[in-house]
Amino acid sequence: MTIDIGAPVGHLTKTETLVDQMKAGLDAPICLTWELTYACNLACIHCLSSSGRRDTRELTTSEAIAVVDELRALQVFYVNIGGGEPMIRKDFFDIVEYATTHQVGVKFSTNGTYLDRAAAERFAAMDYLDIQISIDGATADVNDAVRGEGSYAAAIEAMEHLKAVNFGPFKISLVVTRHNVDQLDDYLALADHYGAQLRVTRLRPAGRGADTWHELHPTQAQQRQLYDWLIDKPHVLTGDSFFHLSAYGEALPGLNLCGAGRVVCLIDPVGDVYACPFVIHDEFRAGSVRDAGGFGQVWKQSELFRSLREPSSPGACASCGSYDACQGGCMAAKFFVGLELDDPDPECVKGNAEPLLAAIAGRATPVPSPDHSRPTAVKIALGPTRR
Amino acid sequence: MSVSTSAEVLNSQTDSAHPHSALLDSSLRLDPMVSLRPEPFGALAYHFGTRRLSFLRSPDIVAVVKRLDASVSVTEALRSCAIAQPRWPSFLAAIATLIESGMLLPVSDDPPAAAPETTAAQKDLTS
Amino acid sequence: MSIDTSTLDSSSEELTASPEIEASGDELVIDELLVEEISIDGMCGVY
Repeated sequence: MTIDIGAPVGHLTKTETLVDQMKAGLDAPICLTWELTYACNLACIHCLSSSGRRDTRELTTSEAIAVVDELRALQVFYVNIGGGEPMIRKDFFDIVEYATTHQVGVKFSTNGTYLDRAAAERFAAMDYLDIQISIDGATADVNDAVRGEGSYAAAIEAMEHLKAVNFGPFKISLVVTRHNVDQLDDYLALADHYGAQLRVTRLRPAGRGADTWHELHPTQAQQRQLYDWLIDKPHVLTGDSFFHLSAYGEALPGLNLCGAGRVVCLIDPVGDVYACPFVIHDEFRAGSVRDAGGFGQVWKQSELFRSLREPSSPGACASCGSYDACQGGCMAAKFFVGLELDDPDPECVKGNAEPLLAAIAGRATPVPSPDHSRPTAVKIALGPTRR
Repeated sequence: MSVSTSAEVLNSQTDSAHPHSALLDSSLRLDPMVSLRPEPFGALAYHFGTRRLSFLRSPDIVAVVKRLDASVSVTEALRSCAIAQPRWPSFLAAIATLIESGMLLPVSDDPPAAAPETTAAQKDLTS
Repeated sequence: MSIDTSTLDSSSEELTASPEIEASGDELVIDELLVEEISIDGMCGVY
């Protein structure tokens, strides 16, 4: 005979899952994205942070170190450093080395242009450091169409350096588009060749991505193709970015929920705190690390994050049997295509967003802000540019 | 003696229900590379070396894990934290999971500060 | 730690609620999931 008992106070019951706890928000992020600079030598057409030009209000080195100190005090386990191109900052190594020697693990995301042999050797000597190389195609033609001429070669060269110095396993990260979804196996082979872990993530209509999202995002058929492939390859990382696909059936590995403002968030190059890196827009700005009380105060008390931690209504998704699986999808995707936050995800696998998107076609959509894009296209400078 | 009583309780159950009873006598410690971060529901545990992240779902398991360093055995830690014996199999399963993920390590075989009499009594039990 | 028995429910189908007590003979065993592993990469909203 199996008997239920009421659970002791402070103890999670089986029905009160890990996910429920995460939805209500944690006392500190588990990890977060930290964009160090808006400066970038590339001009990827889908850049989620609209990067290119440095913002003159960037955090100073001592402000950045103070952020690391705060994260350490909060016991944030891990920061995902990016940008723009983070290695452009003169104090990049100072910040990263400070973090990894002060109980904050670092993964940084780079296009590889500045990852020469000397940098690779320096990285190989560091602990608690992970590296993620951004490539958006298994071949130069597919990649460079999105990231610029020469960018594929720069990424490969960085990977060669990491291999030559025996850095160990690193990650390569792909944003899935209509044009690279057929290359997934080739991409996995590329990762295997370098002993790297493959990571694939979702294209959101964020930053410059807003301009080309309708042409670049996978079709419904391709989403199914991607889902089937991911189910077949559980060792491929996704950063939980495809939880909207769980409505197809078996959930993909991960928490399967939006972590913005609850488990993760973004600190941008000027110290602004946003719910996540895909919603760099005033609507999702929670505060600044420069405010009194610093990052901790923003995380714990900001109005935006408090509201994100409240139970959300399924809205239009209430009548759909898949809501529990897909959670209504990604708020960044909805926001930037002009849908409401309780509308279906624009890429809803059941097509529930189609009529809504048709109804709003042609209307103005929210403009990602701020925009640090360079005004004219710039040729990629191959090889590290000494600062 | 309390150690033998608890072992008898568990050993009297069917073996399949209590595969981890051998852990009771183990001397364990938290790997220093693990960061244990309290949360209202229990704690998050992150291993900086392996990058593995675990969710400890009860303040009781957190208390036991913290107590292991100062305990000569898992049994002692469970008793110090006043964990009711019907709950011990679940705690042992949790400890087994944490050993598997590298968060908990066996204390070295070098003679520790533990009293020789206690060690001898434990050896008697396992024979 | 004492067990609160005020909410005892003798339904045998209730496998989804809080820690289960299984009776085998005269002994009771409580089954709880105390440790759950998640991937540091497995949360949406980071690069």
